[in-house]
Amino acid sequence: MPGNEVLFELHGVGKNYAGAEGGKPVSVLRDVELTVRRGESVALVGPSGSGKTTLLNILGTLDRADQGKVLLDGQDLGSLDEAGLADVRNRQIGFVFQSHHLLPHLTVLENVLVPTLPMAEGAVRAAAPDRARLLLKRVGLGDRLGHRPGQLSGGECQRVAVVRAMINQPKILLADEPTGALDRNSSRGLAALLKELNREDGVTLIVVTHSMELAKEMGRVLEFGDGQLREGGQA
Amino acid sequence: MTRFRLIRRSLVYHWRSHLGVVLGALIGSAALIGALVVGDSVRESLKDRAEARLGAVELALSSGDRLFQADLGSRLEKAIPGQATNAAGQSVNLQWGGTGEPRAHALVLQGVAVKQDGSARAHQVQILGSTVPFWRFSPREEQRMELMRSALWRGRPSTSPSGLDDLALERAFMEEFGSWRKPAPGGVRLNRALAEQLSAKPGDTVILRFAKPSALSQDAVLSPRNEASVAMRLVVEDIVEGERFGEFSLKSGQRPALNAFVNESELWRVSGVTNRANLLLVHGGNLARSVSPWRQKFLQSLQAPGNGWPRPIRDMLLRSLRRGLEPTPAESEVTLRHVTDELRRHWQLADAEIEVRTIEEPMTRTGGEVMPPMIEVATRRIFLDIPVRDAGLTPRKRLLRDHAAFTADREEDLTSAAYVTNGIPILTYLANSIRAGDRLTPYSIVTAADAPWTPSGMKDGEIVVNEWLANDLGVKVGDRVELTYYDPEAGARLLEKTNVFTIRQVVPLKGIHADRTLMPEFPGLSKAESTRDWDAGFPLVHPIRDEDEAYWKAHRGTPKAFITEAAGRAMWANRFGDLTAIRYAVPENSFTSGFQKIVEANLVANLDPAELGLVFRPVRAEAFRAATSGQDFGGLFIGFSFFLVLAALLLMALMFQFGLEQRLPEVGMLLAVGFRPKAVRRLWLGEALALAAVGGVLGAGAGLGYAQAMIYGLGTLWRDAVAGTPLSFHVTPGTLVIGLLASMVVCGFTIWLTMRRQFARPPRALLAGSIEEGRLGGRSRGFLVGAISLALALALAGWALVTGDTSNAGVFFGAGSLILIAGLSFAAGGLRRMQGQTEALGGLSLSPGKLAVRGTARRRSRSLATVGLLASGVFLVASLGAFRMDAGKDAMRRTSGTGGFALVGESSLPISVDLNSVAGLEQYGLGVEDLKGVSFVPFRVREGDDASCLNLDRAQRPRLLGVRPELLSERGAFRFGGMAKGIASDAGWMALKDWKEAGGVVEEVPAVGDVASIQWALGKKLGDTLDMTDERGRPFRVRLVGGVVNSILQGSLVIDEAALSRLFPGVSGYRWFLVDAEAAAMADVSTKLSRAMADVGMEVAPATRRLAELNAVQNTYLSTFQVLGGLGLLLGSAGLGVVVLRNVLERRGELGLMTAVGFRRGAIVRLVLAEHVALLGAGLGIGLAAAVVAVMPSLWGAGSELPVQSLVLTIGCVMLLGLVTTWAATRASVRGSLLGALRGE
Repeated sequence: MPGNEVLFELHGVGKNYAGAEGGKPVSVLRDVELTVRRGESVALVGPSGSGKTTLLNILGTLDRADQGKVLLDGQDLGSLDEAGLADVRNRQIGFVFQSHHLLPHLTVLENVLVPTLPMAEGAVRAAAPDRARLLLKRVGLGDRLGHRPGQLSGGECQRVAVVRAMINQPKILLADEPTGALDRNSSRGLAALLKELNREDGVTLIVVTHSMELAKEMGRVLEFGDGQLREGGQA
Repeated sequence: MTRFRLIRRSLVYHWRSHLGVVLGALIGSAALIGALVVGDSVRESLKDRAEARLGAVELALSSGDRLFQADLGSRLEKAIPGQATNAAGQSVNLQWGGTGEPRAHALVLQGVAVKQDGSARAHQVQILGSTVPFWRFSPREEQRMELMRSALWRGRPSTSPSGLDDLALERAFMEEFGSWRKPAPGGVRLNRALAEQLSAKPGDTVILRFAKPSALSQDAVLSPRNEASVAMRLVVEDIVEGERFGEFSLKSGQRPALNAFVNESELWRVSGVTNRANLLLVHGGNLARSVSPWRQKFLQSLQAPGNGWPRPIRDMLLRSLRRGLEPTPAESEVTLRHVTDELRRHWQLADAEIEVRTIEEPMTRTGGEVMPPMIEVATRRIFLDIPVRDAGLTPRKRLLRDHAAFTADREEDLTSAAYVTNGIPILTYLANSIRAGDRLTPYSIVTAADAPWTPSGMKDGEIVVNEWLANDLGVKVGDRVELTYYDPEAGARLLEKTNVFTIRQVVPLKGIHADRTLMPEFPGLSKAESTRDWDAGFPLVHPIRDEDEAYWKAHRGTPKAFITEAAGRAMWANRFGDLTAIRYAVPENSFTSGFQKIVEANLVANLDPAELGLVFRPVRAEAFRAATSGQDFGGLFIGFSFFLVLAALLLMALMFQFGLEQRLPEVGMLLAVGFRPKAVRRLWLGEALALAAVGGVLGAGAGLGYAQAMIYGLGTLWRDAVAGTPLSFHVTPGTLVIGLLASMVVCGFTIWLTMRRQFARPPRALLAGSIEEGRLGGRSRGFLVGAISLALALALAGWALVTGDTSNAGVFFGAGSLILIAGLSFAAGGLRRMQGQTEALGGLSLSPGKLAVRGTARRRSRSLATVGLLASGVFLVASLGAFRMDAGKDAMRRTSGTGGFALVGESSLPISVDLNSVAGLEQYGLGVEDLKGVSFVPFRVREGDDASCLNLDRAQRPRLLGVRPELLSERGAFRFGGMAKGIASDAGWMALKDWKEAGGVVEEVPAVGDVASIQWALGKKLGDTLDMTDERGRPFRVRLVGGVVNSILQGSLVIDEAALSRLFPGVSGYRWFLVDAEAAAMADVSTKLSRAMADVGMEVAPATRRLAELNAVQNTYLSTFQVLGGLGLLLGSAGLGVVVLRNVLERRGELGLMTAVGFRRGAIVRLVLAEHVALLGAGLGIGLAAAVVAVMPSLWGAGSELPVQSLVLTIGCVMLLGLVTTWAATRASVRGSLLGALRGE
């Protein structure tokens, strides 16, 4: 269950992209205000190009806001340099993309362990393989540890991607259209898995999706339109 | 899971896409390592040459025309081995290598060899009268000793390291010993090079002709002309191979010397000398050295039978270790110092041809008057060297006990030396005539000396005559006489001068005034029984009367007149000296013999043998230094392979970029999961370095093959580039390691540059897999850079044209490069603008052409890389042709490389007559009619290293040519490329006149050389100086004041003849000639001169041929560059093909869409072709524009022409190759179903 502790705070966040031929910049986000509490599950919905993914990227530190402030656990992400942001991504945030982005040359287990490589703590890294096995078993891939991504189905790959996102026990799991490339059954399975992680592991979940079904599974739905965010929108 | 594992897995998984990268690295590394190995091979081959010509010689004393006593070596030998002192003052043990005597002497003379039937002739032949010890210096003996030494290291001397047992070793020794012999009288041993030139075999008869070693320089007026050269008719005994010391020579260079080894005693007899030599060799490998234990162990493992080392590697390591045993410069220095010290302890005055004798004339020869005995210092060289004069008149300040001949030297002897200050300098010379009114006495000896021969206080304008002369001229005290003599410095020009003297005194022909020993032993005069037998170097123009003959018979060379020493010196001092003797009165209470010893000791103590030309030179160390510091072929071939390496690197970078573009989301994912950007870059760099390492290692193997191919090329196709030097393949371990590391670093750096930009992007963009092509549209820096480069290029070319400096190829090459940069910058800006415009406006007015343009602009960096590669290739390969030299072009112009001279002549023996005079020509049986319109510019030659590009060694002591500068200046011969700072730009040849001396010693001599020789062979620039030593061991500087462009003067430095004579009095006559002749008469003149002057070994050749030989080196370098550049272009074309393939494969979906909307396949192929032919065209256009600017000097400069043929050929080939590659790649990539590709999207 979500607590009262604020995890993300966005104040007046804006983002622009340069126009073609030196033309007027295109504003994607304008004065976005948002608060996400620890343990919440949030769905970001809205038409294509409305700024959902841009917001998710800003939350996930893959991109920076042009205006406003983004606070994670009270820390201003804008004040961090590239290395600091990389650390935040590594320890506090897990990503699941529409495409799984698994490395084709690594096995399932190795792919899961990739986020542990930047960690300096030897003990954490030593414990990681066992945790990876447990997690993979939990998502039903316990017998596929030595398989390569090319030997798995799309749904299985996406589950591996989820496990990879969870390996460093992040506070937040950000998912960008996680079911976008999956069939109905796989989509359902993945939605259940995400929900389960949110519920049982207490990880805060923010999902960008076009799927009404998935959005409904989330505790809160935020709708984008015209660069603005509205509470309780329809997917 | 580790980072290393991540890299390894990635390498294995993506091996197919990595192949291209590895291939690029392989080619780059092969070219790089190959070039370095070529450098190794040339260097090692040069060292081999040095070893072949020097064998085991470490030091050599070569005294030229000064003949020392043949036993000098054995006197020195007694002192060695011994304790020497190193630079730090520590005592070190000096052991002598070799077996038997550690030294050998020889008499070496230059000459001409002719086969008896006249069918073959060889010039510049080294005739060596040698002894058995000489052969012990053979390279083969050195190798044998080396085997012995390494056997000793192993501690098992019973087995040689080569696996030979004692018996086999002994047999080899005996076989060697058989070759250690001197030729029998009447026999000659020829070395291979001379035998081949003469086509001579054992049993054939050859004639050797050489100049007799003369006591007096050939240049001296009194030097006899007849019998200056003598001939020996000899039967060839055998041919001496190089390994048996047949190629012995002290002169650096790659052409083997032409050696004829003759019986020493016979050479002495024919030369008219006895027990004399002018070459002393001392063995090397002398210092006891400690060999480090690891080196010993390593050697043992290499030498052990069945050691498992592959033979090439074993040989490479053994050779490398062997080179490590060469004496270090410090060790050579110790040996040199030790031997020089020993020389100082053991030399004798006779070694410098100085004689100290007692003059005791009987009363019967002095008119019945007693003449007290005197001690005289004189020399068979007639004139006493300046240092001898100074030493003879200065009391010594040190005891001589360290000298072998004066071990019992006492303090009293030192005190007695003070008497030498009483020495009387004497200069006796020949007056052509002494005239009083209409009466003339011909050919009289006159002595210049102060009291007692002339009265104290006699003025320099006064003269003492003997009664005979006074009677003959009918003069008395107070009368004036005219004394006419030949200027001794005028040499062959026989310049007469006259001085007027007033008679101070008439003396009877008695006592000291009747001393016939005052006349030095002028060769050709002193031994003549009659004046009619005189063999002087001048025509006897005054009739010799009976009374003259009678005087000669009765009194021989007794002087008829006496003048003051100062007056004599003013007239007759010359470069050989200013005295003919010093006389000392024996002090009272002294024995004559005792005082003679005191004079001798005084001279020995005061003289350094080096001042008299008795100097040991560390010839081995010099030879190795020359071999290692010569033209760096490694660097040269890296330069030649530059474009090939560049093309390989660009190809590699392209391939890497393609792989990277495919894997961009992977990079994004790693960043997304928390890898820091630096960590991701390191991961990729690790992967890239692994690829570079694989490519490098494979490239090392390929590089060895490439090097072998280059060596083969240098031995065949590009033989001229190394002046025919035989090269063998060598590689050193260091080179492989350095080459490998260098190639890895270069490849790694290239890849780092490639990925730097892509990795600087935000992770979201990388995750999306979009490729960075920079900002679109807007103002481009490309146009600005292009405009600036273009302006600079035009300014540079304009400046060169305005100042007339069109010969400065560097300027035009620089301007060409700037045009290249400008073109590429404009292309970059254009592509950027087009990309922006097409994306913004493309939809409004679309056409197939615009589609093609859009395609070209969409991958800007790729397109630009392709254009750049092609443009640079075309520029380099095409413009190089412009620097080809044509020796024949404008050859008769004074400003051309021939200086406008038709012929170049070089004689083996010096020519002392003036060939521009009738008398001079008559000396060789030539008449004025024979050589109508022909004139000569003669040069004196001080032999030295060939400083032209025909010598691969770094010239340590370049050959000096002495000329009267006005002869070249008045002709305006040769074109000056520049003068040193501080020298007037129009000074030209006259700048040579400005040499500096202090206290009669030449300190600095200006020199003019060929610009190429100065820069490449000497490694210097105008204004620099070279430190050299003169004949007497005194240092002087040669300042390079001017450089002539691309001339036949390459290889030598030209200085003022007067300066050369002062520095090297021993250099007599002229040996190098530039000949002016009508073009039509050239062949005829050449034949006449060669025939008439065959005995002095005159070799005459067209100046253009000599220039062509020199140009061949540069032209061959250009060919090499063009071939390797062509290979690079091939690679560039392959790069274009790869880009086409990649572009089309990336756009198969797009092309599928075009098919879907109705485009036919042919139209699509044309579209793709148009797109890439535009790139090809841009590359060629830019390259061509740059090349045209670079070849501009051809339009103005002499000696080169616009290489239209090679330009058209190069451009045509590149165009064709590019078209074929593009077409093939396009066809291949649009094959199959494009609609399928669309479905795949």
